[in-house]
Amino acid sequence: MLEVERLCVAFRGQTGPREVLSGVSLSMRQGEILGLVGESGSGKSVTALAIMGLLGEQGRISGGRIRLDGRELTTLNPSDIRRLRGSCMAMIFQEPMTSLNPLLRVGLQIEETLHAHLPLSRAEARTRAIQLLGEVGIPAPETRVDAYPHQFSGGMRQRVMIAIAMACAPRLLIADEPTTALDVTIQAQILALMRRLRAERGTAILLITHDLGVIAQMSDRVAVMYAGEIVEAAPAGELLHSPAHPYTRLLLASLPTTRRRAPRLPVIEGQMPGPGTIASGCRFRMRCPMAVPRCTDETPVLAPFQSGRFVRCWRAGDIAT
Amino acid sequence: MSAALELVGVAHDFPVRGRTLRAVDGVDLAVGAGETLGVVGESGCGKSTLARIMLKLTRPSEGRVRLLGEDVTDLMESAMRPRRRHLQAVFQDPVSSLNPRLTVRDIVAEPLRPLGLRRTAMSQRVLSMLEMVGLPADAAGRYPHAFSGGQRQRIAIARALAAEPRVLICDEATSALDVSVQAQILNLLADLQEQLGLAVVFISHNLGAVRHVSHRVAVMYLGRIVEQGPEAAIFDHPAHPYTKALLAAVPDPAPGAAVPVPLPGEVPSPLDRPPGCHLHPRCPRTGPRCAAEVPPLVEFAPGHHVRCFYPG
Repeated sequence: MLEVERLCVAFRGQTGPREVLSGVSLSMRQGEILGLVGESGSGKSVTALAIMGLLGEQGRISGGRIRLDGRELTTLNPSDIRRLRGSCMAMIFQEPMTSLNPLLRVGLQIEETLHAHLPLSRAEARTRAIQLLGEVGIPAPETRVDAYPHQFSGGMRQRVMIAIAMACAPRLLIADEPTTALDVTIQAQILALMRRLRAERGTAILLITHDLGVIAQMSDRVAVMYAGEIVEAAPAGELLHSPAHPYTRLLLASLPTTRRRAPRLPVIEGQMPGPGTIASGCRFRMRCPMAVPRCTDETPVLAPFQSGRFVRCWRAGDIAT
Repeated sequence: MSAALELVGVAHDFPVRGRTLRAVDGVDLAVGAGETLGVVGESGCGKSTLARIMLKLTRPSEGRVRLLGEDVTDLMESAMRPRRRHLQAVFQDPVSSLNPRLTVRDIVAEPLRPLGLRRTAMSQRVLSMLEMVGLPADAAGRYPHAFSGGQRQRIAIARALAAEPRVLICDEATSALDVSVQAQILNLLADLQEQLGLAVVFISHNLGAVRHVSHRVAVMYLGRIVEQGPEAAIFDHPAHPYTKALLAAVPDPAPGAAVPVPLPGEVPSPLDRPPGCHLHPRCPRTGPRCAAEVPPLVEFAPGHHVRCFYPG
């Protein structure tokens, strides 16, 4: 349903364009939840914005293809892609307060999306807005439809955002850190809501998060990003159980859990290189405890590794044994 | 053992449009030298107000604050100033807590100024602090913007520890950091705490991080401590329904981990706290007494206190 092939994105920098995404490939089936995980600056949000056609003035797609239901998105003009946004694909963000208009009643904001894509009368749109608010678990939707965003809690605002995103029944929902700003008990409610929408409507969800726990709970498959590249992609259970890339292994190990208290947390020394600073070789090699000279000399490719898995590491075979 | 920092019956009210918002309600806490006390809870539970009270930035409406055995509740800022070297803090956002116009040397030296050290002693102290938190010596001459988030948090820790405080308050100190950097800072805090015998209060909504650094943990809900005890008791055998729900809600990265059943509803506004036990409208185990009476914090197991009529 969604095919991203060798996507490259460059942002305008002081010294010329800087490549922030280098050959990112993803594919998603209908009703699938794909987790995209990585730390700040790994390129996961840029991937989402590129798919949505929201890169803005500073960024541009410098290579690759994005196809949604067979339709090429990278060559569409702005008005065509605007028509797809909201109807075929929709996106929700971390902070719902900055995505909602504080001066408009939430009902109107849902109706606005409905009118943009569907031939509905005002009364029909309002009925549909109330129905959508009910579906995302807002209590008393027939009165809350006339409330303003500030009258909602953070969790309820994220529910409103989901209602707007789901208004035209998109095939693809991109959720960029949708629960990062929420308390854990509210996060559990929003994640349950997203799982229900997927089950009831078959919406495919691209879930972007830095939280491996959220990934474990939600995803069918996972792609791990590092410094603008996908370094590992695998079914969620396998990736969490036996991570193949050294970065994924360390990322999982460095996470403090509530289940047990480790005397010391393993750490990843140093920090992620900035965009365009590594010309060749593996981008993780400077921080990698497994690195060998080949990692500097040759750039690893995302290669098949066991069935249904892909790893960008020369040493994945050695690590697995 | 006398506590390094102790709160006794602390409560705090904020006036809100003619009404009273009780942010903190009857909190007793103590943390001793060489001990880390974790404080957890969700938005609105009062943990940030509690941090401000501990730091003597807010005077509590009720109760006493004792620092190193001395009652400091009523001390004015001028009287507090010489005692501040014993009480330091690290906050969530290392961008806004470091002055962008000062070099790292000046930032770390700030708490040393009242001590009247000589220039050379001061700069030696700064360098040894940078080394202690794992920053290169040449960091001293640079400005905060030249550093990553994790490195800035190291600068903030170096500043907090420069004057050899006895008590360190960490308010969401690792919450803005990426996982791999968070691990570095948690290890650093644990090491320094042990090396220096600090009393640390680690306030966070990140339960994994709290378990990793704390010896004892207090769980807050709507201004009250609902459960308090040794780290292993709280995480492995929680007795309060809220603690259980909170722990169950943390998504577990272990493959095949159970998907939590969310606690229904949301945390009520602190302006409309339910009577009796604050949790009773959302509680799966509520009984007839819960709406009528405030349950007391009682000892459930040695050192493990629970505020619930039906614990376990």
